[in-house]
Amino acid sequence: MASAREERQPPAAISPEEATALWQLLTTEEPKTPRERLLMGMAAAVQERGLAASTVADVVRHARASRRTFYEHFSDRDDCFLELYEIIIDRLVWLFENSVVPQEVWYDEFVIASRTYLYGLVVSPALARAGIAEMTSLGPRALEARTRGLTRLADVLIQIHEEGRRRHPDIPSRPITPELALAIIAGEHELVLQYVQQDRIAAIPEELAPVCARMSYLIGVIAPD
Amino acid sequence: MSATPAPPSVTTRERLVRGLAAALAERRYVDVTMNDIVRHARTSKRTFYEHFADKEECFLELYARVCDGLYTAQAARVDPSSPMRDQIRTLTEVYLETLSASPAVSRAILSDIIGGGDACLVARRREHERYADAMRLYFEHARREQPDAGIRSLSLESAAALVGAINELVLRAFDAGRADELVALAPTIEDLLRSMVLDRR
Repeated sequence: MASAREERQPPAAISPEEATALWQLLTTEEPKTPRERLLMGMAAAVQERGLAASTVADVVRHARASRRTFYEHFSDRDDCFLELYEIIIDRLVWLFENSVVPQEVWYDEFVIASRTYLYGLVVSPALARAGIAEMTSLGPRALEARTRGLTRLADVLIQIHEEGRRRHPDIPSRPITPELALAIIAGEHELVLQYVQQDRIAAIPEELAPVCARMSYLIGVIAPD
Repeated sequence: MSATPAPPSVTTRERLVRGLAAALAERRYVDVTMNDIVRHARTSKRTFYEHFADKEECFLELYARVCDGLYTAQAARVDPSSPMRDQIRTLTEVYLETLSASPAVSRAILSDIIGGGDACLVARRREHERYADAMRLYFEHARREQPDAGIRSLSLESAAALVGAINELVLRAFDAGRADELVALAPTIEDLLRSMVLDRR
């Protein structure tokens, strides 16, 4: 849909399977501490029933822990989810940082990076829904966590752009300001939220990668005057 | 809103919507009570329920009205025959002026609505899509009017992402306590728009 209307498709340097594998490399680690086990329990609960329906009872059942242990580590369900959210952001930041594959055409690098990142984002549709849509109803704490997360991703965008500028000195470009980078990341997430709300999560990477790439690319290049 | 049956009395209904807007200047959307709304509207709870099922429905009408007001103001002020650079400046100016006219309402619309429940999220998506589509059509029309001006085509998805990006800039300003300096965002928003739709900035 969107992809047909946007610019041409570059060769896929990273396949969807590889992007998924990159992500899973990080998620299959065995939890080592009770706290980690509770966090993975939270992830399992969300995958099973969604965030809204997940209770502390679900979390401790999946984590094979007691309620007492839960409350030794977290003040409530949201507290636990927000820490899981930070971990997901850590992993997305890592995936985004490692998503760049140098290409002859600079724009192609953004398509590949966006696609890799978006595949990572939708590996678990339930977590994507929780982190992008459901999360927003958790109050000010969650909104702060969201802003922090988006800011970190925006920093990666700036970094990717700077590296690209060094590889493609022939294309007139300019640094992306943190303000614009955050706006772009938020804009992309808005688009992802729309797809989540429409239950089109599976279509996100292929349809939205060209849109995200175009935006990230255009903001940093200087059009001939 | 098209789903709502014709109101028995437009003025009372409008007063209620304005009552909510006034209440939002005092407290955040989640904390606004029915008492606040009817006090500002100088009417009774009974009257309120003759017009709206709940606070949310009233809020959604306020939301739609602000959006309509924005479209009307933008259409009235922009000159479609002027250079695209200038059109972008005017569109941005009117957008920020509209939001600045009532910062509390703007904040509720851009931020509080997100946590306002499913109906709010659905309404928010609908308005975003409406705005994104209007934006896409606007630039499509401009391309036909000024074929040599280097205006790019904007897909619906790109337009939606742009709306989200611009809203985030405004939200950040609110969070930083700069609600009364929204016009300072104009250069950044214009830059964003020019980058996306103009071959020549």
